[in-house]
Amino acid sequence: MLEVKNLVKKFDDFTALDNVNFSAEAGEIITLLGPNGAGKSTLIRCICGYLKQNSGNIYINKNTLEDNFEKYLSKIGYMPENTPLYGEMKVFEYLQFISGIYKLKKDDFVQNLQLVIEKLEISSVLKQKISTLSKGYRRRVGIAAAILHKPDILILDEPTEGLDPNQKITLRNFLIEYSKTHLVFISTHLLEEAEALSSRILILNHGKLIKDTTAKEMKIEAQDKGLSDLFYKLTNPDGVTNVE
Amino acid sequence: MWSSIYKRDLMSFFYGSSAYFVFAVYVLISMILAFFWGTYFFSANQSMYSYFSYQPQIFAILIPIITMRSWAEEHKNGTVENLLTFPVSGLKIVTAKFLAACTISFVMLAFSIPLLITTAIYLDMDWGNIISSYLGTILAIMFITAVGCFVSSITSLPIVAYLSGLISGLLLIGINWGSIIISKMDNVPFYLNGVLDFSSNYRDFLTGQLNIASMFYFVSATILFLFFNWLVICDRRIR
Repeated sequence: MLEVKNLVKKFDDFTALDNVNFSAEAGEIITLLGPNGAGKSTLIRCICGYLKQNSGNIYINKNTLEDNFEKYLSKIGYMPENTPLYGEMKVFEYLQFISGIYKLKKDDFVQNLQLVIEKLEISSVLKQKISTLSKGYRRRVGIAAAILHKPDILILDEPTEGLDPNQKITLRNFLIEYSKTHLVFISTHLLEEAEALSSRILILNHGKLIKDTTAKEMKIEAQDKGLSDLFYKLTNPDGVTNVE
Repeated sequence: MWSSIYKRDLMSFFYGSSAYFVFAVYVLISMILAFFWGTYFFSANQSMYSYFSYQPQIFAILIPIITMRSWAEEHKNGTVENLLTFPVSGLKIVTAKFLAACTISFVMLAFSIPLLITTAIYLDMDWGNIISSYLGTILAIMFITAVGCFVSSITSLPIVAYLSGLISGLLLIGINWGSIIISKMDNVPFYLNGVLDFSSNYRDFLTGQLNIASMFYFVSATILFLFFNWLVICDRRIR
């Protein structure tokens, strides 16, 4: 479904992504883990077509963005970091706007809207202005907008940042359910998030994919020392550069 | 779909009070300039010349208020990242935003209709000239809006977008760049004088001389700045 091949992204002389390779299928939740500045958001932005890579290819169902950007981008639902939304719009108006962007038919919009309202518990804020929403609701509206067109790939950048524990659990449950039939790709720097959610963990450091693993494997590798120690060892070592 | 972006941009201007403020300022300045600065009461205004002659300057001041929202605010709020990851081409996004900003200015221009009707009650109007003046003003609006959208796309600060849009607009319409360039060149045919000047092309419309060259001037300048806007926006993207 999603295939990233030899991806390189540079900002002037700085290499943000250095030959990243991986592939993923529906039914997986992939957590992109890494310290700040590791290249997580850059990788996500390249996949979503916001940033143009210097070299390498990204395929969604064997199509690249250059082949047919409309088809490529309509397969993706994306919520950027900090959930940028149009504050002056009401939640319902915003979701209506999104349905127009993805050319949803009226019936599909109503059906999908009911589903996202129910799953993300946003019925109470539908008529509220986005600028007046709490961080938790704002995040949920952002996710609602990302999944309204039922994308094959849901990509969320730091989705639980700033949420209270109850909100985190609600969101996690939703993501686990969504991942049963779709690919969910999230970025985080929180280890417990990766552990609770992921079927697969990709660890990025200095733009390189240094590990492609699972939470279970990481626990075994960490032994008694805990995941934090292992993460520190992986991201601050002398010379861990290749994908294991 | 690009029409969703058009509608959103158009409506966003009416969510706050800024639209009504801009409309009020437009009516006030237009009337003051036509009645007190111009010669509206002292000459037979069958073509409303004194009203239309100041329109480019007025729109050059007001259009940047509209266009500063087009891109600079999207950059400031981070919503540009959503916008550019929608399955809509850069060209369609740029066009939708441009048309939304133009529509607001056209609504402003429509506030001149009551004056037109009132004048028509007392004078035998030169309707051909009036239509030509409206067409010229519409083309000038499109040109100034394209400049404003382009300037807005290169900054993430709305106030910088406004000031840059204002200065660029006033410089483009206030100075006869074409004449300056041509005066520096040797052996230029006399008929090229004024061809590239905003004022002489606009004046053609006000005097009822509808000609292809003036229309081409405004349309091509608009397309040129929209192209620059598209280049800036699509710099990151592939399409």
